Amino acid sequence: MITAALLGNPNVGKTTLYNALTGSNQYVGNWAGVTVEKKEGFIDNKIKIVDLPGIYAMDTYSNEEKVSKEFLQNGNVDVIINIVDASSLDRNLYLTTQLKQFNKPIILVLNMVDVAISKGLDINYKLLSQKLGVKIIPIVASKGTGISDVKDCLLKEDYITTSSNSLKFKDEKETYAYIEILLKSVTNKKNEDRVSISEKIDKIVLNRIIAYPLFFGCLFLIFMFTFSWVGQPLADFLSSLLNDDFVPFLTGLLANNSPWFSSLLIDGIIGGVGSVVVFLPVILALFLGISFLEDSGYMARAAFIMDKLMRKMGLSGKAFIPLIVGFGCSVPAIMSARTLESEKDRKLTALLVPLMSCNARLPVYALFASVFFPGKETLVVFSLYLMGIGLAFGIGILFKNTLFKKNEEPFIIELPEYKLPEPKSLLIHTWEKGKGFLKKAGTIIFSISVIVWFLSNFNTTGMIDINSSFLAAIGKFINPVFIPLGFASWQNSIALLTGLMAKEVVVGTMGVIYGSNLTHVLPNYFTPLSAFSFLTFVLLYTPCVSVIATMKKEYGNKMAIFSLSYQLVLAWIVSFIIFNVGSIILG
Amino acid sequence: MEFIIVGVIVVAAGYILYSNIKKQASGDCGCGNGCKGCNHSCEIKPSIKNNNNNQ
Repeated sequence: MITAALLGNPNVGKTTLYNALTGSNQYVGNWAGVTVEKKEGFIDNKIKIVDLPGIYAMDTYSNEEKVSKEFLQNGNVDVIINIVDASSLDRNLYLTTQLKQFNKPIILVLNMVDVAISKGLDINYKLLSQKLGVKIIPIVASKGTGISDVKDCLLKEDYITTSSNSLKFKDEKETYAYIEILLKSVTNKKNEDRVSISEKIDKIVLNRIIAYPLFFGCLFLIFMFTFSWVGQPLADFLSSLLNDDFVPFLTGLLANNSPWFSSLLIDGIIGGVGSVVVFLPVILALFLGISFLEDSGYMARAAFIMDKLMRKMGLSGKAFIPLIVGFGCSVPAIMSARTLESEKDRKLTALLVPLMSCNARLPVYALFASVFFPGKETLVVFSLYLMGIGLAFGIGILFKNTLFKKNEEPFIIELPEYKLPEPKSLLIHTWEKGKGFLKKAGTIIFSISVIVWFLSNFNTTGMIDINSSFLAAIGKFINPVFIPLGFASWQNSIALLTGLMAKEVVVGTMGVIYGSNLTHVLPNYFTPLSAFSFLTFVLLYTPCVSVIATMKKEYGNKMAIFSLSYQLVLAWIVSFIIFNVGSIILG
Repeated sequence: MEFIIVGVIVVAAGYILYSNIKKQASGDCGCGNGCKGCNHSCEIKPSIKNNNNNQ
């Protein structure tokens, strides 16, 4: 069987070609000892296609590059399928020149030739093939054009089997100089001076002075959309439906049942799950906004402009992507830090990720902001997000100068063309978030609500007053820790404790203990200042058990314990400062 | 009847909590989709959503 390694830069249509070539006859597996995924598929059980991670070069900076290099050296590769973006040959051919050094036959698949033509690029395939000593096949993978040519070429072994001109260069500069000369001789560009719309937009978006205000302005607009215009008003509407209509209706329906039975359904399940579910519109609105930024192509620019700031805290701009993922969920964010080049980068990023406010904290923010800061919800939540970013920045600098001293590494990122996001893609991505939230509500939030209800209504003597319950005993035990932070009550302590399972559970637990109508009850237990201190603690303390487990899995016990401890200490210190300095200022 | 309903709810809640703790201990983020069919993969590689490259 012939083994073909499929290689190319990220985002050039590699997976599309792989799927088109192998059809459904494929499986996904992991290589032992490495964290990067590869795929293997077959053509007519004669050709094995190994889909390697997308890389820019063979410089072994990153795991993906190491994995690919090792496979080409030791994987009995018969032929390399190098897929390139025909409209960006100047950048893509860098990898090709490095692949030539392996002295294996190469099929150079020029994808997106339609885009190249639309940009006025005319490529002389025959001449390029001769000069590089490779077989060239132009395709449009997304439309299926040229796929059969690639298949035929592989099945008939119709590729150049002897590598006549192995390319060797001293350095990057020499390689790019060669590529420039090569392209001048094999391509002809019409409308050379034409500036694309993306380039025009980039002149503004990437401008040194405008870039940062524009980035934070975009984020602020998303928060306005979430907390002032759409998400929060809809959440308030759902909350009033729940508390003013559904709960009285259910209470009437259960009037003839035992008090403990109706209490389980109304206080336990509706109070716990219902008080969280009403925040679904907030989650949907925020992720609709973030998906819009991602799909439009702006997020890649954000990573690019953040490079300078990230370097100050010892990270490359690439680390911005895991941090952005952290706004969704810390677990995949910590895992996505795998793509970073150095181990120190990965560890430092993984430690900072939990400071990015994940979506599970949103219901807590939305609830407290609407109760204690009406009309200023956007500002309060935005300030919490900024506090997370600011602290990540400060802690990053601290760790960089103490625990993770290291050299800086280069950062390369793809800047895709700007496009108007497709509504379908936006809705799918947003719905995935909503679906995950609802699933959580139906599982973990439901189960904890029932257990919290049980523990708050019973002790060894049977059903009792809540203040004499098991839960009250546990809450009172940990309560003294929170006295200096201004929100000490055993109920709040329990909410923070159960919040270790998932942050939404903080609201669910309060819904069970205080009752589903939290808007009216919470002002009895918090002042606006202590509420903000509480929100700060929720922002900064350990996100959930999954995050600790992921840290342990990725970086071992020591890192997991360190991450857990530093976040708890940081949360306590910052909340303490906010409450006490705030108390002095407010008199 | 009430006892049966409550019994079912409490047992179900206990089972869900147990299986969630088990999942979370293995690093599952608890989003409900499972790690094998992870919907977060699109976030890990956000660029896969944009097919047209520029620079």
